[in-house]
Amino acid sequence: MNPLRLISHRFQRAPIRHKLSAIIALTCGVGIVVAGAAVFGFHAYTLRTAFQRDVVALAAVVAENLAGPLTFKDPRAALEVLHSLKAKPQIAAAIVRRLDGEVLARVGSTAPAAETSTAIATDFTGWQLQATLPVQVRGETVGTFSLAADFRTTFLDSLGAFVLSLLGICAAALTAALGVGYWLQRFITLPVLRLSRAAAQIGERQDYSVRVAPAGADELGVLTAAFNAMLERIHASDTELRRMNAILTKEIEQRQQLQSELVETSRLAGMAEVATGVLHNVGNVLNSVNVSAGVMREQLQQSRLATLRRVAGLLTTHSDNLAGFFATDEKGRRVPAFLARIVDQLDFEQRRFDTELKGLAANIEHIKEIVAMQQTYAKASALIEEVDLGQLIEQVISIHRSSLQRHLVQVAREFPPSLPSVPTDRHKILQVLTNFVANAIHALKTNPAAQRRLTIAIRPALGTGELALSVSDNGEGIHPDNLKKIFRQGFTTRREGHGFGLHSGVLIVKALGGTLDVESPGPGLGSTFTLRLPLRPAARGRATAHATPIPPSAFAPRAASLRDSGNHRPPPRASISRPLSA
Amino acid sequence: MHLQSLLALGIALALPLGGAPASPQESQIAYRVKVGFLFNFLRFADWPPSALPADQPFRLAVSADDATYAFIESTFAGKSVDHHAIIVERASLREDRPAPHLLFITRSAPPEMAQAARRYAGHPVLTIGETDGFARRGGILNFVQVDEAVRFEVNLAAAERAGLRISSRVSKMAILVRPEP
Repeated sequence: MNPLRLISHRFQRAPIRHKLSAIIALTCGVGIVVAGAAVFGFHAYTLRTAFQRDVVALAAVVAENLAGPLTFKDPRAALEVLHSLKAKPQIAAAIVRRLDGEVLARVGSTAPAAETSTAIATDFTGWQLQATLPVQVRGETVGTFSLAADFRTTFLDSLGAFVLSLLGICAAALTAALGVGYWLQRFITLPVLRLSRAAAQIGERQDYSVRVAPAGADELGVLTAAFNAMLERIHASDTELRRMNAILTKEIEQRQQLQSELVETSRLAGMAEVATGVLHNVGNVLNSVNVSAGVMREQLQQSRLATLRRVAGLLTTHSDNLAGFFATDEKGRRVPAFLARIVDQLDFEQRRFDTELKGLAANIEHIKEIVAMQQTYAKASALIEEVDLGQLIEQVISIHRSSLQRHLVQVAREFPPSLPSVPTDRHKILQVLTNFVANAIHALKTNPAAQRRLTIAIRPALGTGELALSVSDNGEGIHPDNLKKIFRQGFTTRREGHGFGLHSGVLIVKALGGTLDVESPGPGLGSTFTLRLPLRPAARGRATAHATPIPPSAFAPRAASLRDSGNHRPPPRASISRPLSA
Repeated sequence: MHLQSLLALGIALALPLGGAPASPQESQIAYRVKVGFLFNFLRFADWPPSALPADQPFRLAVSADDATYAFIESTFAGKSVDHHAIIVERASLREDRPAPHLLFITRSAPPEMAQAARRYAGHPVLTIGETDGFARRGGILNFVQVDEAVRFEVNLAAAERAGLRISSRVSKMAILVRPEP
């Protein structure tokens, strides 16, 4: 990360106290450094001037001391004088010349310009200062003294000392500024800290009764007051919310209680539905049995057994002269023809009884089947298993067979011969479908006998991983107003209805992770009930896109349907669909 | 040139120190340096105004043999110091003679000149000798030979007593001596 951004990032995350301290320190530091730089600039300028003055003064002093050596032409004494310059590190070189230009003595490496002058001459170039002074004795010039001095050492020494003192001043000023700042920060950070702590406390404990101590009349004071006022409102709202929440929780508990009661009621109602269906169909079959029994009893009542018994009496009476009886007696002559008619009659009766008995036996067998099936489903409750929907549909049709036949309902099956099994509760789905078919049969009663059509279809709900099983009829249909209410508990349009069937169906299917919809174009135009079930168990959630896809070709209408109606209406465009979840 | 003259001076001075009398030629070489020094001493010494009024000549008394005296006299002829004409004269300790401003007592001076320092004690007379111990015995300046070079001793106490001010520029180069107790 860019160092500048890193610093900025850190700065943003730092507590306000640290930010204020940093701002104070930075401002102080910048101020001191800028002031220091300005002071040093001035200092450097005066230092340069002072350096020049000092060097010239030093040169003058040395020149004064060189008067003797120059006068007495004493190079050793001159050198001694020059050696006294060693104490001055800024002096780079020094040279003493006599008037004739001859060098009397010199120190240092760099040779100052060879010039003789009767006046003081200085040349400050860069870091180098050269000063040449005449050496005079009683106003008479006896030689010259030249000095080369390096300003750099002096400057750097001064700079070093200045920087050190600047650092010291900075440290002292920062300490003082931070100290004062720390003391003054209370007026800003303390209220902010209080606000922050209060906010943290609220965040942790959800305790809205916390209040922040008032902090003067500045912006922070206003903020604190506003914060407190806000807390006041939140506290009131929170209290109200808690109260409402308690009420709601209680209501939810009550509703859950009611719901579970309702579910139980629905379950019982569902069982009752199946039982009603079973009993209804058993009743229908028993009706056929009764009819068969009546037919046979009637047949038996019409039997020619008494006539036969009289013929047998006549034959017994005329047993000694049977030939005469048959030949002469009027009655005897009619006996053979009579017997022939009896035989025909008995033959007819035998065939009729046989037929009726066969029907009777079949009906009794059917009753056994219905009862056995109901018992099977009653046992297997709340068991999720792989269910073959085709087989299940056949069983539903089987339960309703006598009703369907009696009401001359044509049944069309629109599903492929092999269907994927669906993980679901067999009994509950049977219960739902039984209810669907029962409703359809009821709805078809108003149609002319030749126009009663029931279609059971299975289609994939594309892309949702579901199977859609629909039961359609072209019966009395549903009024749009009723479509909205049809799944409600206790809603029914039938005089003998109880309004539990579809409602319990909704609850059942919901529990199995499916949906229940109804569509109807309107009264007299039939209706379609659709059950959608996930191909994966409901426990894994609603059907997902990962469900095994079923090729749409598998759902081509079954070629061998019982009676293909041929003029099946397409689903209405303006149908009202009520999703289960609503 | 300077070194050569110094060498020559050294040779010139070595001979009299060795005890042998100096030839007039050698004396001139040796005294050329000393006369230069004498002239310089005039520039670095101040006499009280009472002793050297503005319109008075500067009296330089020399006690030496004739050759040396002649050399010195010729050297200073026509010279002046601080607008005072320099007059060279023979040194004399006689009471009736006024004290000179400078008294140079050479090695060839008569023995009675040893009393000169005592004679002019307290007077503004710059006494200059060239014999060992001259400064210690009350003389103000004394030429000495150090490492082949002519140096001089100065007795600042004597100068102070005489009311003369010897510039520090000279005393810095001089060998300071303390008077004998």
